[in-house]
Amino acid sequence: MSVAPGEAVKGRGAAHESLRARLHLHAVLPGLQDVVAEDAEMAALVAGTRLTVQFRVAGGPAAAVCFADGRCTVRPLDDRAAVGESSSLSPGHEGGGTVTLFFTSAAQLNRMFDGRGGTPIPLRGFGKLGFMQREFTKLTERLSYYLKPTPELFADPDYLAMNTRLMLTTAAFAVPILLEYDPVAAGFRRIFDGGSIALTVLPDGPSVGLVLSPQRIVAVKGGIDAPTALIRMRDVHIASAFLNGTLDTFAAVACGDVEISGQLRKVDALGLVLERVPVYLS
Amino acid sequence: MQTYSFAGSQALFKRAASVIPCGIYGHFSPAPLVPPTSYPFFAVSGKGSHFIDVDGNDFIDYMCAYGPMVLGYNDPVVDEAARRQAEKGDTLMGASPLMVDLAERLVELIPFADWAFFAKNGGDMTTYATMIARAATGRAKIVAIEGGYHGVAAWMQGPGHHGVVPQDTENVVRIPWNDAVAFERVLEEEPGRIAGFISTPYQHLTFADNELPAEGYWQRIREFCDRHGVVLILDDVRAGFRLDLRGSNECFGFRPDLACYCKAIANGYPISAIVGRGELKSDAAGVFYTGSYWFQAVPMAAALACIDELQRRDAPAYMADYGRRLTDGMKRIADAHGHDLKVTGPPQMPYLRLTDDESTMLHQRLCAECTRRGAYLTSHHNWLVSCAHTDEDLERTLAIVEEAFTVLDEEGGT
Repeated sequence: MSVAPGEAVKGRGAAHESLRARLHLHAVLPGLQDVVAEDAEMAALVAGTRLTVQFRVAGGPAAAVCFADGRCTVRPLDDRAAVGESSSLSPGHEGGGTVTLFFTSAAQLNRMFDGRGGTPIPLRGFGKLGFMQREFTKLTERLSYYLKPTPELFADPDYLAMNTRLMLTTAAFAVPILLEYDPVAAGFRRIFDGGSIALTVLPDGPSVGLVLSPQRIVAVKGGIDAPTALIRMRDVHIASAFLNGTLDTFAAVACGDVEISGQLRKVDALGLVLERVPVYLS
Repeated sequence: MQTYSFAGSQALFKRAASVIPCGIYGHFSPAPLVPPTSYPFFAVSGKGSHFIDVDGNDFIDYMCAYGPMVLGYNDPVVDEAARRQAEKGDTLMGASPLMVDLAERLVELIPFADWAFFAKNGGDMTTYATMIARAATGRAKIVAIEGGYHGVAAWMQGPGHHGVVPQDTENVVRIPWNDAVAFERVLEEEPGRIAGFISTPYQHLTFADNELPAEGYWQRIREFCDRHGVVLILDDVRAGFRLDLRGSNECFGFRPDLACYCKAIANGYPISAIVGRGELKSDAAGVFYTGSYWFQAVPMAAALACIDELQRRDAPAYMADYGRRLTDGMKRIADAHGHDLKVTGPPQMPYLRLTDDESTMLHQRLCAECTRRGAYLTSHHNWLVSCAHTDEDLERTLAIVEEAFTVLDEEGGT
């Protein structure tokens, strides 16, 4: 039995839409960094671009996607997103122009991310709308391509690696947001009171981490030193199954396909928090 | 010292994982064992304080099957009582006379108990207890302790766990352990809506130091329950008959209205029990509650024999003495290696951790190295000792612990 995409969110209120918008901006959109960094065609597409694209939701979250020096960086602009901020999301390379896309509601932004309309109102940067219609659209389409696998696509090792990288990033960056705003995940918040959790795909990455404190949880891309809880997945296939929710995790841990050590209470709670991602992102 | 290999366990687990969710589910899941490759997954036999795994490795068991083993595996007295009953019959068309004997035995043994009722698992009894409390009070809500474990039914699990919907837990109010003021506040905020208060006699969470009740805590809880007409439910499933044969509450100077027992009641034979005050007997009778195997006579025979043996051997005192000598010895070894090994909880069920190890990874390695040498220790859960643990076991265990610390030293873990 399965639920059709989007079915899970029908009938949900403004809080649900707001949380989805935060996830879209602060957990999904950062995937553009990887798309530019790892996909040569996309890197070439923005090689000479120096531009900042701001996404702003009325009374809600905001984020900036910055293109400069052949790189893409994504960072939150709203104060309330601080809990989901990544230390790797260095300040953007503003300059060269800014496009501001305004959404009158979180639901409008979510419709855009769902590919169901939601066209924003451009408030600034009218001269750059051509970039938005051509290059930026191609970028987001490629991000969407990597995030929506089919069995055939999974057979391609490069696709599998990219999907896993993006899913790992999305998962890590979703955690602070869910712990802050999702009523069920918030019940686990006090478990994440200190230390750090590292998630690594063996043998060579990618890796992400969560740095924890009672006040703030920070998701980071890349490895972290001396984590107090460690999750290591044997290879990209195991990681993909883990992140896509098709792995019997308990059996995988026992078999050694997923290694866990350190503060297991946090590892256990992290798994339950990540179970909340599909509630908002189909 | 020879270290064990677990090829047989791992091969069998692969077969298990292909046909059984989790491979091995629940509290026997190897997932919290770090690393799993240092632990046996399947046991084939046991005798006294030892069990043998599928690879033929022999372990001194400090988890005691997570509690049911209290006199020792294959205890001859209990097994003989069970065998004799098995020859006569087990599940028959009618309750066994032994059920009456066992109920009378528990009522005689447990000072506050006026009646007893039997099932299979601890969770059967904790759920029944909440139903009795609701029937008796006409109220819906149950107050429980944050993180407190009372079984696996949906109401006992927290929101966000698989298969649990918000409605399952909406009538459960969680408060911190050792916080009578929080309980009083809930009673004031929910006047006339609290049916029961359920708690273990002390806080024995996993992954955390165990905490004994503060001075006067249980007495205040009792007082608030009496004042507000709330049923006081003691979940003595894990600690029962290990701390005190009259019920663990006797250690802490209070008497509940209902108490649930399971693990140590029959030395591994499947039976659980609830006992209660006379005032709740008609409410218990009014709740329809039963199970296909709840009238098995063999576990009842085993329970009667087990309780007699626990009394004859003064089991709580024996286990407390062994537990103290075990943990004192381990602390001395840890000290000598430059570590602080913290021991919490009663000596019959100690929880240990290295305080100089925030991540717990060192403690996990210590437990794994001990297990690979034949002393089965886990890092996430309180340990349990039994009446079958001997001085020879203790000496062997401490030698293993010494070598395990030495290995950690050599590997740079200390």
